[in-house]
Parts: sequence; structure tokens; C-alpha cells
Amino acid sequence: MRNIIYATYNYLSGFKRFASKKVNKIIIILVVISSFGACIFYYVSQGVYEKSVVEQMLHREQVVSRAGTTAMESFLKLLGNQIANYSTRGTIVDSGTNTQSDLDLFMKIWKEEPIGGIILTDKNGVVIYNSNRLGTRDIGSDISDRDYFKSLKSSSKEGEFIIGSPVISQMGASKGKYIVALASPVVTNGQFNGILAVSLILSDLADKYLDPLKISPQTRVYMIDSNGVIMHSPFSNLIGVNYFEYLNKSNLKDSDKIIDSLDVILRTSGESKLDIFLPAEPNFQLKRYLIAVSTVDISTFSNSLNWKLAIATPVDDAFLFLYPYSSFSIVYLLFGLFIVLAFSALIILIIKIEMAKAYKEGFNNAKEKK
Amino acid sequence: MRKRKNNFQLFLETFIPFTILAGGLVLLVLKIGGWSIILGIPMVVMGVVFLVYSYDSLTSSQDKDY
Repeated sequence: MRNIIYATYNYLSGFKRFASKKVNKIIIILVVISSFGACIFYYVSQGVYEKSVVEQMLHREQVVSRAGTTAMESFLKLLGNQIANYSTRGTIVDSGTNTQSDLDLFMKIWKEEPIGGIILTDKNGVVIYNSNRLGTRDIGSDISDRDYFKSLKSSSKEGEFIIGSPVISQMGASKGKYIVALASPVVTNGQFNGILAVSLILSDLADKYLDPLKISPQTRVYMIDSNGVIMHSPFSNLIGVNYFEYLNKSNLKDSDKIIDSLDVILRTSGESKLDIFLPAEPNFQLKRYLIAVSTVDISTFSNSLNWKLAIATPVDDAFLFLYPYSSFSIVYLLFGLFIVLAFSALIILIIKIEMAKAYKEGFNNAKEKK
Repeated sequence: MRKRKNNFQLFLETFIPFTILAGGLVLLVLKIGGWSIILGIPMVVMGVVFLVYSYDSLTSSQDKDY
């Protein structure tokens, strides 16, 4: 130990002697400036690369969410128009022996899609025909209290459809998931005679149309209404939860700031992007996420709030794309430092050679004079 | 005539600057918030300066040996 301290002291005092020479001072200044510059260049370039990768990832997410919302809007329109057409069929308008087989046929055609079932009600809202995924015939339920039934009953136009407010399903194949009803009035001789409605499972819809577009395995897809209620999430405990209340209860340090940022995003119509720290399920640790949000515009067909589709990817996944650039930057930095060292060594060597030459010349001159 | 450096001194003269330089580079590459700038960059700069000094010191001791 004593030896180490002594040797270190010797080393440092030797450095002091080295640095006291004028030429060495210049070399040290040049070395400090150039190596400091190389480090700063490396550090700044890393920041620029990171910023660029974050921007690219947000852009990709935005494209994915836009594609997702467009697909969902198209699907909703297609299904809604199909329901509207179906509601004008003779077997539906004048329900009878073939009605059930027609509804079963509808389910058969749409069995690959996230549809829970189809029902036909009478004018009082009592289900008289039912065809669903489970193959049960639950009839007799009263749905006259549902918003879409009331809306269609009050202003029914044949061949039109509306989308109801999302609700959590309490039964059947969609139990615990958010469903939304697409309904069309059944009009007989100009009089409202009930509704034809299909239930659409929102989680399955998001899984079907958005899961294949995930940017990384950690990418998460959320569907939220403008009030912050989560309608679809990879974590079932979050479904039906108001995310703002969830954050408030979490006692996170910066929950107010997070809530403000999210609130702005959800109130904004159209698209938006966000780079934010959020508690990550299931362990609730704060993690940096890149989020792109798009609006599923259903205002034409519904009185309920628009839905927001959020694609969230952890920033670490985005930085996976950064590694090739980082590796190159490190190589450049090492190369830069090597050049600095090599140049300094060369200067020191030249000085030593010149000094030796001058010393030799001086010695020879003195010898000749003698 | 100056005494020739022993192996321990030679080891120390090369080990110190290389350790400082490598430590600085690791800190810089790890991107630990704040520390990369506060410690990483000065360590790299010091490491390079000490390497230059070590080179000078080693070559000087070699010169004086002969």
C-alpha cells in the first residue's frame, strides 16, 4: 500500500515537472481541447441520434394508429350498412319461421369477425330472436333502456344505423369486455317495429386489426374514450377504469403533470403524439413511453364520445434501432482519441530527436572549440 | 544517471492512464444521467493527457538508460 502511494506520488510529481515545460504545456492544451471536442461531439451526436429515433418511432406509431382507426371506421361502416340492409329484409320486417335461420346465416358469414351476436327486438325492446357465438337462444330480455333503442325509437329512419355507447358486457362470450351495439330500426308499413342490433367486442376488434401492426412485442394498444375510460387494454384490470382516477389514486410524484398532458391529448380531436413517463403495468414502475393517438371518428353514427386509439411503445424498444449508430459513434470516438494520442506521441518524439540533435551539435561545437 | 524504473512503476504508469481513460469511456457510453458529462468527459480527457505523459516518461527513461 505504501509503495502504491509512493509510486502514485512520484507519478504525479513527475507529471507536474512534465507540465511545467512550455512545449509540453502547448501539447497538453491541444490534447485537452481535441479530446474534449471528440467527447462532446460523441455526446451531442448520441443526443441527435436519440431524438431522431424517437421522432421516427412516434411517426411509425402514428401511421399504425392511423391505419388502425381507418380500418376500424371502415369496419364499423361496413357492418353498420350490412345491419341496415338486413333490417329491410322481408324475413326481418315480417318476422316468422325463416327469421332465426337468417340471423344464424348472418352470424355464419361474420363468424371470423369480433361480433358477439345479433338480436331482433319487438317495438317494446323485448328480444324476440337471438343468434350468438355461444349458440344460445336467450330471448325475452328487455333492452328498451339502452340508448340506441331509445334513439332509434324516437327518430327511426329505415336503412340507417347508429352506434350505441360502449358498455361492459355482463354475459356470454364477451363477458368482462367492452361491447358496442350497431343497430338499425325495423320499419313495417312506415311504423317503428323494433330494432336489429349486433354487439361488437371492442377488445377483439382491436386485437384483430391492431395486433399485427405492433412495432415491437412490448407495444401496447389502448382504446380510451375522451373522458379517459379505458375500453381496451392488454391488462384486464384496467378495462372500464378511468385512467385519470387511476393515476390520481396511484400517488405518483408527477401524476398531476401526467394527467394534464394526457387530458390535452384526449381532448384534442384528430392525431397527437406524446413522449411521456407512465406507470408500467403490472409492476407500476415509471417507464418512458412513446405514444401516438388517433381518433376513431364515430360522430356521424353515434351520440357517444369519440374513441381514442393509443399505441404505446417503451422508448427502450425504440433505442434498439439506435445500436448500429451508437456502435459507429464509439468507433469514431476511439479513432479520434487514437489520432490525438498518435499525433501527441509524434510531436514528443520529434522534440526528443531535435533536442538530442541540438545536444549533439552543441557538444561537438564545444569539442571543436577546445 | 537516473535509476531505471522498476516493473511496478512501469505497470503503474501505464495502468493509471488506461484505467482513467477506460472508466471515462464506460461512463460516457453508459449514458448515466449527468454522470456521463460530469465525470465521463473529464476522465477521458485526463486519461488521454496522462497517457501522453506516460509515453513521454517511458521514452525519457529509455533514453537515459543508454
